[in-house]
Amino acid sequence: MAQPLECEARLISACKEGDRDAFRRLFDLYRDKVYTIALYHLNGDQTAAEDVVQNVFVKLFRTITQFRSDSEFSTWLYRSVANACMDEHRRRRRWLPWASVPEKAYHHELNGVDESVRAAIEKLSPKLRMPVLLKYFEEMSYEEIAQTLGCSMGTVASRLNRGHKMLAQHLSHLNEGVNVA
Amino acid sequence: MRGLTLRRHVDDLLTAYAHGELHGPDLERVEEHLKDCRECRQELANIRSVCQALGSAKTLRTKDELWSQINNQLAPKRQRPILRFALAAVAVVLVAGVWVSLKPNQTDPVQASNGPAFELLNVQGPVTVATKPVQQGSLVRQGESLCTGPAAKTRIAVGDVGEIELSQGSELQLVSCDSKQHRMRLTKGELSAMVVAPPRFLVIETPAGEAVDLGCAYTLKIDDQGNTILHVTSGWVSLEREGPDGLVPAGWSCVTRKEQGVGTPVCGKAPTPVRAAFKRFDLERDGPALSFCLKVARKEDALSLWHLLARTNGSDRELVWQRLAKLSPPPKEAPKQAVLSLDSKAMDAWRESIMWTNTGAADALPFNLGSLR
Repeated sequence: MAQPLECEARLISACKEGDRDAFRRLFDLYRDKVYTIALYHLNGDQTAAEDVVQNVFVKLFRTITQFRSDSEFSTWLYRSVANACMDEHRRRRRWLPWASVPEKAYHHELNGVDESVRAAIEKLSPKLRMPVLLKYFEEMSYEEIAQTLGCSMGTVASRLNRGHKMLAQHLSHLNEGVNVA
Repeated sequence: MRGLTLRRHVDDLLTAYAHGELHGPDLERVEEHLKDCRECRQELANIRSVCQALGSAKTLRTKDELWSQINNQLAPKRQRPILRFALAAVAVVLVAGVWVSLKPNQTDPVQASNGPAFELLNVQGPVTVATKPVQQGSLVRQGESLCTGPAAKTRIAVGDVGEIELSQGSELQLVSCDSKQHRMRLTKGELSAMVVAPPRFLVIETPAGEAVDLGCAYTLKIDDQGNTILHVTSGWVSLEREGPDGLVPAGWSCVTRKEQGVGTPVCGKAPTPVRAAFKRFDLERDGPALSFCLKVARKEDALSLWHLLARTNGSDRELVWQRLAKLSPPPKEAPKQAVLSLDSKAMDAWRESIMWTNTGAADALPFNLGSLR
């Protein structure tokens, strides 16, 4: 979330004029975060996550003239990411039983705590997963998550709370020795 | 006071507390409760461990070549939005046409000894083709019907551009197929289709109308009355019959009834009263039913209201215009009089505007559908 806002605003303004170099720089600002969220959301399916990144940025280029600077650009972008992930998830839920199980890209990149976190996040339902990803990979506030997902802050709080309780169960080995007085 | 707070744990607020998102009375209540409740303190410690673990999770890197793939898909020059959409649509149609004509072997069905055919990729339970039992790898030829028995299902390849899964108790006939279009007829039961091909490549006829694929995944079901129930899971589907069509994006549903024609598409997440209102309008098509739709419609239902423009006349259409304009103001390319006379350009422009302001639907397809009809 913490991009240099003035720089980002200039990039967006240039993108609205069709400046391809500015769009490349905007892509570089967000590409890894969008990819990470898509990859975690889609259970490590690298191909599907890359498709989501492509679709999101192609659509972004085509629609960025409609972005109004009275709202957060990241909220606008991640709404598209969330929708693309949910759409892909729905598609996979219907068709994956017929397809081969995709290789998980991040298995090779993670170890230790990260691997435990990944495995725990994978056990969450998509509805609980996306708020968690936006909270930790985008450092969004509850209000920003609510705007991104088009729901109330109460819903965000409830989903995050349920998500954290499930994560705490799955990550209980990390809590060993954490006892309060 | 302390006794009251102790009796009621605050575990439903602890994550928000750990995130620093609590304020005012809720914050005070939690802090007061934590002083005396060891159970909730332990719960908070667990949540903070999760926060710490997730906070340290790595952001992963994308491949560098992803940019070139995206760059290749971007239009060469920036155009005015409507012109850009139109050019994108034309480009898609041209590319799709070239693709189809240059790669006939990939989109064509299997060339069996006696004409084109589709292969059964999977068979579970009793499945027949032309009344004869079949197995995985069998072919369905033009004119033949594929039937699934109780507790049976099968999956067929649509060239190599998609698949159709036929549910139990269903019947699907292969009407015609060539390199430009595959046409099938679902006479009973349910199917799921996923097609990655040029728009209008796959057409499914049903007793109540036709489902025309515009690059999508969807389910199609025929109920006991012969009505067709469509639910789109990705992309867009056009429902067509005499009278107004229905353009249905991902996450939306539409019912085509034998008597009333193509119904009004409705968002799958719409509350029950909204869905009930549009269903009532589809069945009754009168003033009171319309008033109820206009009353309960939300911004998210703007696409449903847009469909009502072509399903109403005179002053009723003006009422729809007023409500829709309030929920989703028309772009300048959709002046009021043009919309009221159902000018196709104005209607398309407004629909696109609705789509772009409703991100969930906008994801379905980023260009002008009107040009693809």
